Amino acid sequence: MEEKKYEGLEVLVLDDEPIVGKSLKMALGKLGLLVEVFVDPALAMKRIDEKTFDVVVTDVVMGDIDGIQVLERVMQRSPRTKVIIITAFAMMEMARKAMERGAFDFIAKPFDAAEIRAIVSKAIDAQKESEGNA
Amino acid sequence: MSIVIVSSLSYAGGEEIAEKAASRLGYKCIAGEVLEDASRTSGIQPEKVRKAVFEAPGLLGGMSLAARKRVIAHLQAAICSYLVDDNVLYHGPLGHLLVKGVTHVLTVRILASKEDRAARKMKEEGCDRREAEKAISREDKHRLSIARELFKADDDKTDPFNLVIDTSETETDAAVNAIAETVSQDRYKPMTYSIQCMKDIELSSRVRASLIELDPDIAVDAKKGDVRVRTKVSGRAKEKRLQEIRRRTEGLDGVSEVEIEAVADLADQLGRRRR
Repeated sequence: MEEKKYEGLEVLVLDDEPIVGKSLKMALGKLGLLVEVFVDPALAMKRIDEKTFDVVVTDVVMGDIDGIQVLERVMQRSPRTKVIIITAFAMMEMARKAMERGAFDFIAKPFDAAEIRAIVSKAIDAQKESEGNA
Repeated sequence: MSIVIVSSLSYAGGEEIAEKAASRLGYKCIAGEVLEDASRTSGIQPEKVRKAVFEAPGLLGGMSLAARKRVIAHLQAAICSYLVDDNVLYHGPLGHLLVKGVTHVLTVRILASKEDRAARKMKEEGCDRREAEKAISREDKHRLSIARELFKADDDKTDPFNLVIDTSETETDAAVNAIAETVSQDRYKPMTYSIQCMKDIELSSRVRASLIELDPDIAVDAKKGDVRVRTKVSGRAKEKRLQEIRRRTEGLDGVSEVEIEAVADLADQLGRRRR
């Protein structure tokens, strides 16, 4: 049973489409995760500087600040945080760049709630495993 | 884990490099078995499959273009059936042309100077230089024509490849090292997006192979189990074709929805008017 499996772990979701953030909050909430949603990348960056999240889920194309910059900031601040990139414009070079810069996974929209829950679960399990081995 | 596709010019030493790289990486090395698989699924004799892929059609007789397309469709499906797995190195024709958008694949082109290739062929087959050079030119021409006609690609260009190794300049061990080191870079790590791309390509290829007898130019595009089929058909044959496509595709593993677009076959209509 996956329900509330990750009670209390914290996730930041950033997508400039409010509906995406709302759906992700609902989907990830079912795992017991505490989800903070942002539509403004600048505010999300500010929050990343203030607080360490277990997982960050971010869109790529968002105007002035893109998801790769968010990924770089997270990796700089907290290398243990797993970053998952979501995008409607999946392109080979962008996907490779994200993986090179340390993203945990890269997924193309649209995806369903079960898919994103599975990926976030995998990210948290990988994080626990690497911390257990450290 | 990632996938490596090695596309080698004939007699450039690609086979040895591919086998050694697979062994170094602990990957399964796939090569000639795809020809056997394509022969089994298409019902075309293995020798004919090999000829369709490697030999240029002669002026008289030989395989028709429709039959050649059928062979290639089955070969594509066979190659893709291996590429959906992890830890695979494929060495053979067409692989690099099939994996558009799949980021966890490293594509490698192995080449060598004409002189070195001819020398290798002379040594392996005991032919003279003139004969060797002529055969290599024919094989190159055929490889380019398959890529151009069936995949709209210029296979002479090396820029679509992630790694190019010239065996006239590079020792086998150095080539193997280059492949192993490159594929271990983070940029070739599998991710959900590229794994799904590969699954979509595999399903498209498998569905297309199951339909290729109905229309040699049939187009199939699959996304997460939703399959779109585009076929050229006109007149009374249309209903029967659509029914047959449904019958063949709906039971296939991984197919959830099938949408068929029938476009008018202008050549057929024109032919009937003339008759």
